[in-house]
Amino acid sequence: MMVALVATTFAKTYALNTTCGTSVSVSSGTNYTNQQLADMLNMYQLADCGFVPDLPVVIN
Amino acid sequence: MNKSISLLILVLLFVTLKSSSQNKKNDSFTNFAQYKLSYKPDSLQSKVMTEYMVLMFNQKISGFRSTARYVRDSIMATAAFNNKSMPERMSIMQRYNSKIEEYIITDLENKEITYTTVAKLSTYVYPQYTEKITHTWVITKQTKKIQGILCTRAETNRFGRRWIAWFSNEHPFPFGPYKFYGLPGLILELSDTTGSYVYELHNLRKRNITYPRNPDDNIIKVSKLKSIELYNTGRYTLAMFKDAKIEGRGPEYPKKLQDILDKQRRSENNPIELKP
Repeated sequence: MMVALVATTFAKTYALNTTCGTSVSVSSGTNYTNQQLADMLNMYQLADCGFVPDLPVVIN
Repeated sequence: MNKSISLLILVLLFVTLKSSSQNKKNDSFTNFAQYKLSYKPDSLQSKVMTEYMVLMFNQKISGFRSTARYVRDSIMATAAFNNKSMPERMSIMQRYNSKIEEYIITDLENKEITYTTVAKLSTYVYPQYTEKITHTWVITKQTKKIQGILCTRAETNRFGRRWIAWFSNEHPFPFGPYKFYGLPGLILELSDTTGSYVYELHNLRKRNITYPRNPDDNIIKVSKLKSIELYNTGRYTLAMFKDAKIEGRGPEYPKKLQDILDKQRRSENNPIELKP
């Protein structure tokens, strides 16, 4: 008996909101990690708002 | 034939599990130091960037990570974070942005540095390499106090720069920022002679910390040069967007994003390692 394996790809859409009020939708056949989405958001943030939130993080 | 296939599957399963368990290995540290890093990514500009860096250590090994990544790693490992909505998660992630992505382990016994960074490709991978480094320190008689702790000056050449370190015999841990180690005591201050990279102790305390040897999955072992190449591809090209479809923006949007990355590449011309 032959078994055929069929891979089905579902497109997933992510809405990313910048801090200056714009929004970008990204769709992909793969699931993005939180790190990937955060990096993409930073790119859109730079393109749309001209900056990324960049306060130094310190443990006191 | 079937037995051979079963054996192969068993071997593959064992290798996968072994690899997985190695990736999940934790290190235990007993001390915590935090440094303020001031650096000039662009040698043509006087603009100084600031990040705080964490050095975790015991008598044998140290781990070095940006404070933002250190905190974010901890938050992301919690169920509370993963139960939040995507916008909430992104909001938290943005609070812990860091331009310094690496995690550096210094293994004193083997005189070996393990360096892991990220390559932001369509699927993220984490290039990792090891290098044997023995620093040749020249210890001088010059001393000064840093936060009330008596320190001695030492110098070395490494990565195409001359480095000045101030270490303390009161804290007999031979570790320091970045890939620097091998002095009789903890390095409290480190800078190169051009002032491009300056690490200053912010705080120092005893603290028991358990931290993953590899904070990220998808580790790939590569050469140092390959690691730099992969990192640069992820940082300065739109590789991460390769399989993504951006909606609601015109066809010129990718060009706008690439222009930003080109500008970023031009402004990051002063890496810590001038000669890797």
